[in-house]
Amino acid sequence: MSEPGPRRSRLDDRAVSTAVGYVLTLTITTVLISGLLIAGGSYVGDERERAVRSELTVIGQQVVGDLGTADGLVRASSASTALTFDRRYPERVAGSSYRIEIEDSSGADTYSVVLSATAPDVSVTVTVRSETPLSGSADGGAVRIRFDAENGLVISDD
Amino acid sequence: MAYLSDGDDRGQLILVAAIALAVLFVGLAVVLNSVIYTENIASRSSTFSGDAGPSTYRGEVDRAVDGVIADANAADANDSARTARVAAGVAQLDDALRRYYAASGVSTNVSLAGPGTGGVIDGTAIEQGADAAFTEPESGAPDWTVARDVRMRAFAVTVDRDSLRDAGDPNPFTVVVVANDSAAEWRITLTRESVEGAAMTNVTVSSPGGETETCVASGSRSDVAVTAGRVDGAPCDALDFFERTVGPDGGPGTYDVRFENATSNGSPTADGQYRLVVDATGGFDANYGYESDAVSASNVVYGVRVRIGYYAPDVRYETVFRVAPGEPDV
Repeated sequence: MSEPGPRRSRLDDRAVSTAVGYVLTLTITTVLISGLLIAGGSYVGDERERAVRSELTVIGQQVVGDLGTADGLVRASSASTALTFDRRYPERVAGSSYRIEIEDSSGADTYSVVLSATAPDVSVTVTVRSETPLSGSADGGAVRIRFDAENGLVISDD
Repeated sequence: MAYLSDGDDRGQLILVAAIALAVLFVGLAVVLNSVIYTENIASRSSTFSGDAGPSTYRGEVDRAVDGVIADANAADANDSARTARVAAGVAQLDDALRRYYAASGVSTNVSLAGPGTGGVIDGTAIEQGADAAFTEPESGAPDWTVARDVRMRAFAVTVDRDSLRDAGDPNPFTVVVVANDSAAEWRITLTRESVEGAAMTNVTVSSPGGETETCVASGSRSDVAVTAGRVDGAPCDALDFFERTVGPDGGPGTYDVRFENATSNGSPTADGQYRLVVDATGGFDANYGYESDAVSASNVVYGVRVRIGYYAPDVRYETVFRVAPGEPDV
């Protein structure tokens, strides 16, 4: 230490690399982890939406199958037919509730069964041909399919 | 490093992040699970009893009542005895099916529709049981109406090939079926033809649209089952013309049946037998003069209207339908 003078004043700057290194470590860790969380979150979100979509498709096809069975039974019978199906579909799809609605399609004897989940917002349409008119809507879960001569086959909550 | 001296406080950021990621993965596992569950329910057959139950039951009743009708027609010539036999047969069937279905927790019933035995539809079997020309039984007219405004079942014509006219003859024997609601007319002509030295019977059907289709049979006698759509037991698409029409009472539509050119130039154009069951009674003797030896018109049961009920925990099905064995399958 033979040279005091100006170098002495820079003593305040010494030993900062530890602190800087620490802050850098924290920052990079935070950025990496948030990146991981965001990517993971959106991946899970995508998967969930895909799961809901495929579940709604499967349930839609079951609904269409049941409507087809009902249509077949009604067509093979006279107008004085009474027919009631009580069906249990899953109440929720990947944790989200959903609604089943039947809409008139443009084609003759063609109807759309629209299943829509609320969160995530997914809706799936399955078309069905039926000589018996179809109508009605119901929440997922217990559903009743009923025939009456005036309205045809109507679906409703059980 | 004084402010970092407490080692227990270190790594909190990593810890929190690890917990968050763990929750994320649990969520992912739940979602994937529900996908697997979905694929499972998508691929397994439905356990829903409505899928097969009511239609199977209906089919069983249909087939069994066919047998009941055939039995009653074969056993009794007397109208009321026949009807009683049908009623007893249906009651027995109800009992048997009720026991069978009760074992799987389903309650069923089948009965004749209508008050009492009102579900029995009386009919007439018109039959030429021995080989003869297809002329009007009494007057011998070559063009005549066999039955008018009727539903028919089990309509079959059996002809001797050698008695038929050659293909190309202007006046071959023709069976004409007319649908009453649309006035559509199908003409079934029977001719013979020699193909490479082998004699064949041609069954040619001209449809209202003008198209013609031909089915060929090789036997020396040909059995043309018109309502069943078969020639010598083999399916014949040309005969598959009965349409799904609805008559005024909700049953199938009605038809007229005529024979034309049963004779031509003074000689028969076909020799053979025919049989059909129509859903009309009485009037035949007066209208068409069936009191001849060759052609008989006897009262039979044409069909039956039955009421069925099928009650499972998740299905309720009640309906009335008609059973008429051998009616065109449309």
